[in-house]
Amino acid sequence: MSYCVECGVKLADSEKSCPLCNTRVINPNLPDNHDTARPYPSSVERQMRGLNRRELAWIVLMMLLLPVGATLIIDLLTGTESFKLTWSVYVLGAGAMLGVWTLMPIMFPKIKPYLHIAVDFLAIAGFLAVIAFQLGDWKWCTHIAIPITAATGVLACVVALIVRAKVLTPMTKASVVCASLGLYILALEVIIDFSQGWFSQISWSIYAIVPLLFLSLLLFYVSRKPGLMDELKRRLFV
Amino acid sequence: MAKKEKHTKKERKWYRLDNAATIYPVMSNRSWMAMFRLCATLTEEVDKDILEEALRSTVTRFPTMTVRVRRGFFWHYLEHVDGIPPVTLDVANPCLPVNKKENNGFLFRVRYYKCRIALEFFHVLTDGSGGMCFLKTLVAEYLRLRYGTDVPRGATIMDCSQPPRPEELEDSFPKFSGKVPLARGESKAYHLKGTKEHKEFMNITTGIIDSAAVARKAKEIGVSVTHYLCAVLIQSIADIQRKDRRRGPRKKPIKICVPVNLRRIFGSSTVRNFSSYVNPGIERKYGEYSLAETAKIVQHQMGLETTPQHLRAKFTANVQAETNPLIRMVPLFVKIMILQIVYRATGDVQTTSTISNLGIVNLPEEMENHVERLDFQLGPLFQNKVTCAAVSYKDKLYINFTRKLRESDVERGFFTRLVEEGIPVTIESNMSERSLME
Repeated sequence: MSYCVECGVKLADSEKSCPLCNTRVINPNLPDNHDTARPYPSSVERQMRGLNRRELAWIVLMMLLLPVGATLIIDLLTGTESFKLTWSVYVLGAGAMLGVWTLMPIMFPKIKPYLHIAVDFLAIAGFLAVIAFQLGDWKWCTHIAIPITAATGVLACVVALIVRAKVLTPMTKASVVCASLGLYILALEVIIDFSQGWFSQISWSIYAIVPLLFLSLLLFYVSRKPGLMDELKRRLFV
Repeated sequence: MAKKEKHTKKERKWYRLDNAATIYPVMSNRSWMAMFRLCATLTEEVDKDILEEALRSTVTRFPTMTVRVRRGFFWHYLEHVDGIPPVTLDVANPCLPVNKKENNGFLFRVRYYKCRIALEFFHVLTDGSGGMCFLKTLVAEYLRLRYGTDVPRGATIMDCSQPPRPEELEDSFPKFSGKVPLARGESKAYHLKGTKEHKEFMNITTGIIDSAAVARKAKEIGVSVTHYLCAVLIQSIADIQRKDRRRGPRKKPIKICVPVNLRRIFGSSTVRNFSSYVNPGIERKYGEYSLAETAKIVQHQMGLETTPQHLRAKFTANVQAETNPLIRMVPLFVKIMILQIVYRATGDVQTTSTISNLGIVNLPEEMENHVERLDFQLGPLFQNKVTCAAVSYKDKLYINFTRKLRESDVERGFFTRLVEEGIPVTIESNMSERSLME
């Protein structure tokens, strides 16, 4: 019987390395090929296997391709101009967007959530561009739809980053989220005004920005004062 | 050979779930079931045919074990299953969820490997003490058939030639419940993080310790062995929490769930679930505690909460919820949704880990000559990834850590601390078999 030089525990003869620290057992008194019965058999139970990611991705892809394919065929066959895509382009675009939304998390589960969100919003922007292309009118798309999508995407990415940040306390996270929301509303007003061509000064958004910034500062202040936080918890518990 | 009794669907006996079991079918899914395992190692290799015969004889005394869970409109219920579960060779990755199709519908497994007989139970059937009673009776029957050993039967080793007494099959919770319930709310505890283990593998590390050495150390501090082991576990988790860089979890208390057998306290002889729990622990945010201080805290917290009055009030809350006419009339699918939310909020989140000590198991001399060792292992919990179970037999204490994380920091801290305290520990594990999962 050997001892682990790291942990000091005695190791059963069946152990070739320490189960606690993985240090190899080297006992000069024991032959290298000494073999004693293991406490567990060398067989494992395998249960009914679920779908792996690749199979799941194929199923999702098929489910998306089926309606899109059917739409394309119907459009091609029933359109007024022979073999020209018309309304089915919208379905195609929507299918592509849904494909990005569903297949990305299945195929790349280890990618950070904010990257997923960024790609999802890019897909939305792409779908909007497809609609604009099909309509032949780009103005609404470039002036308002894509800027709002971009601003919302940036907000979603920032929130995802903050919520997952390990170094921030929940109060600080709430504070930063409030401030981001304020900036988002400001961006919305600027985008809408510019799209109308008459941005001069901040107007309606101020009513949302001021309370949000105030709340953000309050939360930040409270997060820095543990005593005040305990007091609030005590007074406001449900 | 006696003619086999087959029950038609209408005749099949059924049972209500006991109060503690209600939650288990609700939270179970294809990848998780609350399982635990009890093993007896004999002096000679196990004969499969005789074990099957012994099992056939044993289950006649334990009708609440030979059941499957069915869905009613308002509640889950247990329905009798004919026959016995298949007796199979043991595996290196025990305590996987019971596959109904492969196990003839039974909710417990019977396995053997060399000299070992292993039983794996779904917690809906019974708790550790009930399971140990079943194992002892099975081994007694096996020894009777194998060697003609006449083992004296009693309260914990049942006589299989007699029918079960009604009190063995009762749900003791409503019988002993009171009128005033105790609120369930507790603060959330620190949770261990790490690299997830393969979903079909559970690391098992067994520490074999001289019982007298642990008892001596516990006595030096003035606490029981369970309190002492719980304190050592808290200390080893405190070492991990100290290195944790996450600000929120760093301040959370370390609390250990310690199951309490209610049979002795309330004088019940049921073989179904009848246990409660206490969650002793320390708040490290107030400062560091030594091992002796931690052990004293555990002792006092447990002393306060293991009084019959306190324990009764604790399970009265569950009994009242189950017997409330309004709740009873809610359809099962709604109950499942609500219970899942409640369990997620008040279940494992309140504790960091579990230590379940079955205590000293004594066997009659006739059996002791044939039984070398006993083991008790907990399956993975719903949220907590590391659990600990202990049982003392003859002069040894067998401590089994089960873990769904790759990192072995908790048991390393636990066993090295025991070594530092002057208690020799022998370690064995299923670590080598991990490679079979690749």
